[in-house]
Amino acid sequence: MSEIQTIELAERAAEGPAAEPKGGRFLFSSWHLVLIPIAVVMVIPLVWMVITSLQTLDQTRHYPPSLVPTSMQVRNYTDVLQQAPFARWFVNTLVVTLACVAGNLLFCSLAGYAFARIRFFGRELAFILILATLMVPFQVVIIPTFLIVRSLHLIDTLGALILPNLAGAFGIFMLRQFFRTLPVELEEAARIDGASRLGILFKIVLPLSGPALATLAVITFMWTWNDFLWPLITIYNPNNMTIQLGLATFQGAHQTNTNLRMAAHVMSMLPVLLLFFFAQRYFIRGIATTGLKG
Amino acid sequence: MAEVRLEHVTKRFSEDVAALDDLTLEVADGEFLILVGPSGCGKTTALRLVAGLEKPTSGAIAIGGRIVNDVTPRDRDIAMVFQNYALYPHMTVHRNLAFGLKERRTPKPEIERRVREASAILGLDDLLGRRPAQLSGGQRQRVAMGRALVREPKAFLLDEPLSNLDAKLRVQMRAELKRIHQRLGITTIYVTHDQVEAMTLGDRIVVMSNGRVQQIGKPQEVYRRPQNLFVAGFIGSPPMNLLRGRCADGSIRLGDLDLPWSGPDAAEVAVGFRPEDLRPAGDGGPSLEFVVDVVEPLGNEVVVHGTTAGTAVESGAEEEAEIPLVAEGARAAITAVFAPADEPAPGDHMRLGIVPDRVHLFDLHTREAIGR
Repeated sequence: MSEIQTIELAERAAEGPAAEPKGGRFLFSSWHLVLIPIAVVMVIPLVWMVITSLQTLDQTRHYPPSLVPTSMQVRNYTDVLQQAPFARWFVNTLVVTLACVAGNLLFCSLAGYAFARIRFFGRELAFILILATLMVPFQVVIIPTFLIVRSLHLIDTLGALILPNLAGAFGIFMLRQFFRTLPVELEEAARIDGASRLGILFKIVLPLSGPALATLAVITFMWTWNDFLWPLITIYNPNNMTIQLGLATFQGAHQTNTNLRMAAHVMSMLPVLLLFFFAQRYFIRGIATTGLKG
Repeated sequence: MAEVRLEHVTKRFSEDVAALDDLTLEVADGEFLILVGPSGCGKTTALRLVAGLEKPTSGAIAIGGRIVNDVTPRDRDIAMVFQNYALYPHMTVHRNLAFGLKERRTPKPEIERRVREASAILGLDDLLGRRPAQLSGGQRQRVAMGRALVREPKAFLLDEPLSNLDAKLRVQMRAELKRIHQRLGITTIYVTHDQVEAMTLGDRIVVMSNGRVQQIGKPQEVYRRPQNLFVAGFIGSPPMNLLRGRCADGSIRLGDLDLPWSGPDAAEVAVGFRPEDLRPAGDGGPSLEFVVDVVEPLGNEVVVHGTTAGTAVESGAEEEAEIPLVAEGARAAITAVFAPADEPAPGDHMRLGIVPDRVHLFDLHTREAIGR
């Protein structure tokens, strides 16, 4: 019967996420006594940032600082947009992020599927090596990566940000684990039906892997969007900067204008924040299923 | 349509265990062949080898006269129905049926025609827009059959297709499968562990155990003349009674029963008789003393469990759960099937009449049947 259950699991996965159980959703539990204060601590900096971004310069210098919104100086946002090429940075980041998300979805699927289902010489070893790279801190590989990117003449282009991040060990690992839970009979049925390996991957496996793909997409999006160190090393021209890097240079130039800096931060955070609101399920799944920090 | 041949096919998953050991088999064009045996006997492996999902370690497989050892499943032109149906969960019934045809670049109108045809045969017309999760077990089973039908393949391979249905539905689908086969006449290899399915569906059945063929024959033939102890114990429900007998002076002694015997003296044999060949003894004929234990009235017949003096012989086909029933001290458990009019009461002492030419004899050492 376990096969049947797996099939049903896959069916449920294909049907989309199950509806949240109704009722009991807002029930109070003693855990809330712990969770609510933690949530408040987490939220205060965010709120403070938004409030500051709407204050006048004088108000930001007031001591003690006020957490109560006293003004609505929306002009700060338009000022920021005029003083720095924010739109450009935003577009750059979006291009890099979407390219990395697409690349990860495609290449990690291919690799993950090969590791999950295709028997080939050295598969286990290769997989272990890929997994092992998860334990290597980024700082260790900065220089070799830089040298490779430089030899490809990609320094100071968006390509330098995209190419090294088109696939990752994390995505390969996560998708392999997920693919292995799909009933193998589905793929055998497709083989008999005449589908090729790639056909099976794209027509059977990936359509059933929605949740895993969504998780990978969301996590890659966040990683890429928030990446700072690598752009700092490879990008010099302000026109090619991503929003995080641009923000840092903007911060340096506007040491004193806290309200403008905060307005810039709010704008840079907005996409990730929105993503989190709408896709937090997938963040949690990604962290829960792989045991890795998101 | 085509015949399927397996010649000296062996499949090993590891060095020392052969899942399939030197299997030679010929399935005639249009034949309905059953592979039956307990789990782990190699029947599913044999099916997967024909499908091309596994490669044989040695031997040749031919479909329609062409050796297909190195041919991919796609190009073997066979269709398979899986035990768990393996319907594509994200596709509607219509797309499930059409998938194989699309992958083969069948023209659209042709796909449409074949899907309509198959759905008419199987009564799927109202379900074409649904997804597998919205179907009942029986409906899924039909869709799985439909997916095989639309392909109009050279051969059907069915891997325990009815085992996930409830008993009533299973009987219905069994008849339906037979009807479909009679109508289309496509070569079919059907794997099951259920000997009722084997008996009712097959033109011929292949009884397998431990990767080896035990017997191949028409269902009645296998039932009437099992070639060895395993087949004797496996085919038939309730299973054949098997008791240890001694041969001496031209007769076989079994408890207080004497049966004529023309073989060599002192040979040890297993004496087998089917439950339905046992009757409350009339006067005269050979008979066996019997104490009734449990009576199971089924309406059209009564299954009577009890014991007789003697030692039971294990055929090797017993399910584990049955083993405790065998032999209590010097007494052996046996089963008889009576007409309802003869229903005894638990605790009754009676004599069971045996028709001598319905008795099966097996050599206890070779485990093969002894002709008489």
